[in-house]
Amino acid sequence: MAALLRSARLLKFSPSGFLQRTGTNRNGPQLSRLYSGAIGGKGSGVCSRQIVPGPYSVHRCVWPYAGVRHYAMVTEQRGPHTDESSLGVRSKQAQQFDWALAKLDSSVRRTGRITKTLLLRIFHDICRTGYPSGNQALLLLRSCGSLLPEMPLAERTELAHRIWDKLQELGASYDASHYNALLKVYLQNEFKFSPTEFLAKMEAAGVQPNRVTFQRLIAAYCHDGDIEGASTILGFMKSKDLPITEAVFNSLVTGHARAGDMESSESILQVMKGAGIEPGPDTYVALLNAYAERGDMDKIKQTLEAVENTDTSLMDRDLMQVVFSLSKAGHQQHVPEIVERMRHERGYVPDAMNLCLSLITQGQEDTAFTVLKTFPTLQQETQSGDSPTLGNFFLRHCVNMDKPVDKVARYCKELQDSSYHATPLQFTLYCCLEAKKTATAVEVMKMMKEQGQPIRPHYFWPLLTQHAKDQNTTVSAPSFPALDLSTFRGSLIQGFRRSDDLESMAKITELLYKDERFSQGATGSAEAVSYFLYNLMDSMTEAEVQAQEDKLRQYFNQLKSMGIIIPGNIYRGIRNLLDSYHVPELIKDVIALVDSQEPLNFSDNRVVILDGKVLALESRLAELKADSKPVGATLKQLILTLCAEEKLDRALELKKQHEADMVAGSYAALIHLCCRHDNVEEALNLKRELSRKDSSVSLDSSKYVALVKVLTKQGRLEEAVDMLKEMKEKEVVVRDTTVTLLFHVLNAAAMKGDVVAVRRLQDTIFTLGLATPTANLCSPLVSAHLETKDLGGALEAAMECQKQYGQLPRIHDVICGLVERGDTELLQKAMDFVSQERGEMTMLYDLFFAFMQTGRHREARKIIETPGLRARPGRLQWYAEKCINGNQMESLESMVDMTAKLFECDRDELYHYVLRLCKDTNDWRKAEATWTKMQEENVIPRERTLRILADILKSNGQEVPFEVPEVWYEQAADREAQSETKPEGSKGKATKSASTQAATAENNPADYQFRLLTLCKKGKAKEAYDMLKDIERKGVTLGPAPYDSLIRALLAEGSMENAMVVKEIAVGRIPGFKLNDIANSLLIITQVKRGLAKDGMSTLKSMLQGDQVPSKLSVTRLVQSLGSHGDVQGIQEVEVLMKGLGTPLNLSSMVFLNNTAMAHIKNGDLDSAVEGLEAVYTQGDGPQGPAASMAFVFRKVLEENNGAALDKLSAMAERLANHFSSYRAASDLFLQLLEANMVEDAKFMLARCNAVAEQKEILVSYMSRLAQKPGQVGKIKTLMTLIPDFTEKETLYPYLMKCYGVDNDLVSAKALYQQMQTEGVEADELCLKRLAVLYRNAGETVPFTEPPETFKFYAEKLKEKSKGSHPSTAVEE
Amino acid sequence: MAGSSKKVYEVFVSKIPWTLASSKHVKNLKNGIKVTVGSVLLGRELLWALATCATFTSTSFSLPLQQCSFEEMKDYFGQFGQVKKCLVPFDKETGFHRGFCWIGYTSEEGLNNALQKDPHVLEGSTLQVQRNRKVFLGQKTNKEVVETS
Repeated sequence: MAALLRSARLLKFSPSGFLQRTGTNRNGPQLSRLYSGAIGGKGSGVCSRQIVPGPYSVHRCVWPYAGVRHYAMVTEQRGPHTDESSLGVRSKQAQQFDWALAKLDSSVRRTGRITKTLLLRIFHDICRTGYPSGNQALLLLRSCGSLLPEMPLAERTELAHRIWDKLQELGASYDASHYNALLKVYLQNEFKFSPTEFLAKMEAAGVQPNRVTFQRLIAAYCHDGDIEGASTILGFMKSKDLPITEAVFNSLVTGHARAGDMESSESILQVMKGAGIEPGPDTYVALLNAYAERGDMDKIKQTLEAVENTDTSLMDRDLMQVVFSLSKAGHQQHVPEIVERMRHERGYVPDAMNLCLSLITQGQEDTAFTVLKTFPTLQQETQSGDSPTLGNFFLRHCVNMDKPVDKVARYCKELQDSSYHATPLQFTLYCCLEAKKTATAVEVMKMMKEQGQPIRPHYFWPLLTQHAKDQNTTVSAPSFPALDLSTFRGSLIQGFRRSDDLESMAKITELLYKDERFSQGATGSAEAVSYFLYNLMDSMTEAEVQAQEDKLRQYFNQLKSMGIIIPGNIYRGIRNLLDSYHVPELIKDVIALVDSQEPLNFSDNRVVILDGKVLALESRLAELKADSKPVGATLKQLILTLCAEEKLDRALELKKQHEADMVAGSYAALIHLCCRHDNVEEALNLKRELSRKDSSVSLDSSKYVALVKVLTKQGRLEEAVDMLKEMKEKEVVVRDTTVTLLFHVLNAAAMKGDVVAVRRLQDTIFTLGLATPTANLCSPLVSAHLETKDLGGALEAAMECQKQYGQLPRIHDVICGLVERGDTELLQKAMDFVSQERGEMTMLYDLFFAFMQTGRHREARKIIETPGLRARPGRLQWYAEKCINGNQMESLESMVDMTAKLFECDRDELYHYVLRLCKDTNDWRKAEATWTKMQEENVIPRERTLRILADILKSNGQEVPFEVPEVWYEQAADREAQSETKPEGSKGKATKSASTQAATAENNPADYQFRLLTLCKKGKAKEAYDMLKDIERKGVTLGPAPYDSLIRALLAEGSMENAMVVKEIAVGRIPGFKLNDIANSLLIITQVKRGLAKDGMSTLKSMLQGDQVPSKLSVTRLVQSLGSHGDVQGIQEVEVLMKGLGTPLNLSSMVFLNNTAMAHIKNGDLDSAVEGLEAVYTQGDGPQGPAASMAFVFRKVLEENNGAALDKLSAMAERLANHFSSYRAASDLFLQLLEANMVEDAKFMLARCNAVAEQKEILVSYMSRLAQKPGQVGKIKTLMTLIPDFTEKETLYPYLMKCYGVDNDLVSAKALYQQMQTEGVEADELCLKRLAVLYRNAGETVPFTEPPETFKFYAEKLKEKSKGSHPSTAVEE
Repeated sequence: MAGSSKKVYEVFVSKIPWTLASSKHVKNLKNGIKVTVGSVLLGRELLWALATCATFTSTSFSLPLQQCSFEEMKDYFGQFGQVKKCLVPFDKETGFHRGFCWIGYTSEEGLNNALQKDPHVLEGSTLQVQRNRKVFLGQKTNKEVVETS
């Protein structure tokens, strides 16, 4: 996102100058030398050039993708046909936005521009999915300006208009942000338009112009030098009390200059100062451009010098604008002088490239070449010592823009002569060929020939391809990763772990629980949700659970209040997890979720109220004692109970009474209790007593740490240290929780300012290796100093930690302290140190946050504007969260404001922080102002930003001035509610409460609906159908869901007519009812099954028109059917349709090829069939080329006994094998012959092309497929006789064993086992397991130990083992 | 080819300059020109160019295949051992090869020889040569196709 705001802005880094420079003394006396002064000269660059993955990394894309894949196997799964697709629509859109944004953003980030192709592709995709969202529209519009330097200005505007109209047609609603974006595009494209008409248009659309709109309209007038027009709007703004910002003044500078009045233009700067606005870089750039347009070099130089004496600094990219203006105005001769002034800051190259591209596009290629020659050749070194290729982009764009060949030739010569480029002509030719510029290509070839470079025949091929008859255009469509439900759960879990939004979490969980779509198959919904909970807990780390204990507790409680129930076994699983995480406190919250009717073992019920338990145990103890039975267990239980109730005295008393029966566990509990009660003596006594009793027993870490804590607390430092040593000696296991406990021990000491104790303990812990030195563990030492206000000491301590352990704890607090105190000397020291140890970037951020924290915003701004500084999302987030938690709006706002120009800063993210705080404080005015600011800054908001903004406005009764993206789960919930409310009920949004009070009376729609759905789910489609007809007679309307389910159930049974009747009913009842993707796919399959390929085709077309995505299976079936009807054209048509899909189905191209061949064969056109197939193998391109299989064709031909076709095909297969070394076809044919039991033919085949015998992978994979079905041993044996050594025995025998297992053939299996033993082939566990099962089935005893685990276990094990070494021999179970 | 040892030792070569042709080029070119010479589609400029470029001025446009640089590729890698397979995927959309290829040696020795040499320079460009990690395109991916088509 960040990068979209403006083009890349990388700069050289000059922190040293920044720190040393003394400047004006306005920031407080002592500190001024630190933070005034802007930048130094050419410091050495420190920012590494890595591409920092943005904050919107991939996970945001992993979101339920409306997949139809799950339902492909219609015949197999008759269960509830869930439809993820409908709930996916919205989320798909959000996901697509993210995807498109990421795509565009990464382009801008890397290059500062977007290519036309990319933009068009994204535009197309967004159109295809339909219902473009507001932010998608904004994203597209925003991209039509200067981000497209390769496109002529007029074309860009045209594209913007096209996008505008198309999206409007598709139902996008435009708000002020869109109009503002369009204005910006107009300005960037120098498009002439009438501001008054624009305003009228907005008014007609009912959109209120805002400050940003006016600002840009002023800019538009000023571009034309129309000061009068600008003044009118300015007056209007004033009358509306809108603030006049720097941007307005900058426009006026341009405006006056263009009106020919340089004097007024220059005077604007004074006016600004008078109005209390400092002229910024943009102001100076406006002025410089004005001079440039007049070619006034003297003034330019003067101005540049003047700028150097101010706070502001101009960057290379600013100077580039001047270059552009000079060139456009025909003053190219001055360009070199400006170019010389550039500092070649980091990021110079992409910026300069864009400058060159713009110049070329706008007919200034000579200037562009001047700029090109200033490119640092440094860049070349990175290219792995290859011959230099500087200027590729330049040449390519010249070719694309049809620049005269002789000009290009001149550039080429110059590039080559100055060793910028080794083979410029060759590259130019490549570009010509690529762009199919035949005439230019020929000219270039001639020149190459003159230079004695060879012209090769194949150079012409690219030109010929466009003439090739069967042009096969594939637009590589973007592919989203396919998702299934489990991945969806996975991403939910991920989301939960990060989310703080308890309400949504609970809502989503509830949805999982209540929505049958998520609980397909046999398992109940309770199961689904509880597994989800289990997985959630399981996926969280111990530390996370501990940190989020409260959050989780609230979450569980919320679930409880929603009536969510989990089964006992899952509870036990979660309990064990919580136990292992040391958060037993949460167990009682989970147990509350268990169905109260389900009995739990007493021992499970650890957290049940202890009332009466003590009494019961005491009497039991007395009883046992009286009967002189062993009391150990009961005693322990009693003591534990007492400990849990914190009854120390009673517990100790009990201990005294039953000294002899005490066990280690009881002691441990008592010791812990003593520590908690600060009774250190007693604790030590108990410990001694315990070790006397059993010296082998050692306490666990929590008891030890408790002892350390209490000892430290009481000042018995040495004893505490000894305790730590003992821990080490006894090798007590230290867990994460222990480390946390240790931190608390240290921190407690630090809070008392006890530096000595902290240091001693810390040293001991680290030297003993009880814990690794983390920032957290190191921090108490610094805290201790800070506690005593000893900043010097704190700094020393932090530095010491850095030196010793590589940690720099609490440096922010230390620096804040130093800034506040104004201790420049120490501050300098701290900064030097941080900068040396952690890099200057970190140092600057530390300083920045310290200034922010202490309210010194002016100084902070200076820091963050340091050239070369780039955004560190993590650190910005840290501070933002701090502000949000501390309700510091001012601080947060100024941070957002200051980072506006920070390189790679995710603006949406930052504004989102502001809005979050607005939401917390319920400040809608601030939120609205933030929204305007975002427009001014051209930020494209993500959906969540719009949503939070809408929330704030709505909850304050304000109108929301834009379209709010919906959340899918709300939608789903709404729909659910709707379907449960009365049929004739309001069409508006049903409230949530409606669902709870759904009537339960007999014969109400909800009841019908439920019964209907149940019948559908049980696969009783006929009954359901009858019932629906009954309902229909009663004139009851149901929700869309039951109609939908019934249609699908009927289609799954193949009763197409009935399904269509239901559809008619549904359409009559619910206006706008449409079959969804799944139903339509099923319809296609049904139609095809009945031989109605044409109908299937029209269903497919109408689906695509409705922006639905057909299932892979339905398309395959359709194509097969077309093939068997000989409909070549139909297949081609489907193929084209499929290519048009925004999200490809990953259909194998072989589906089309094979079936086209079948169609040809059907039509008797064998030559075409062979030709088509042969091309696949001879053209070896594309990922599938040589991999593709035509077994399907062979099988069909064999089945149909089509001798002529078979002859042709086998001739082809042999030709391919013998001439092109492509054995796939031959192997496929061979195997199909075997499959058809034509052993003799197979033998001949093998004789004619014996390389088939070497296609081990294909043969083995054939065998593995055979082994899955019963009765296939014969074929494997035949294969063995034909090719005795097609694979190793180690591979072969297990498959044979599997066959025998499938065939239940113990006799053969026994023989095989015998053979294996004699041949010394080791039987793996899976093999043995199979054999053992055979024995057992036959009622015989197994003569060896049967492997105990399941088949699956061993299969997995083998898979693991064979991974890497023999991928193809992996056992398929 | 048949009868040679079963295993193929493959290297993966990338950064192949476009000026080298792929075998598909050669085949397509032969067909392509045969097809298009008579055709109006080809365009006068191109025909003229084909005629003027002296390397193949002979009347029938029979292209001199000895010049075909695909052979150079095979020759070049042939110096390290016997090449059994040389496959340069071709992009029929653009008419260029895709810039990478697989060279299969009949012996491990050939493969090792090829890997030891550094840098590999052909036509002034440095080729990147590495051991082929993935299973050769041909064999793995297509279980699904077999079942669904």
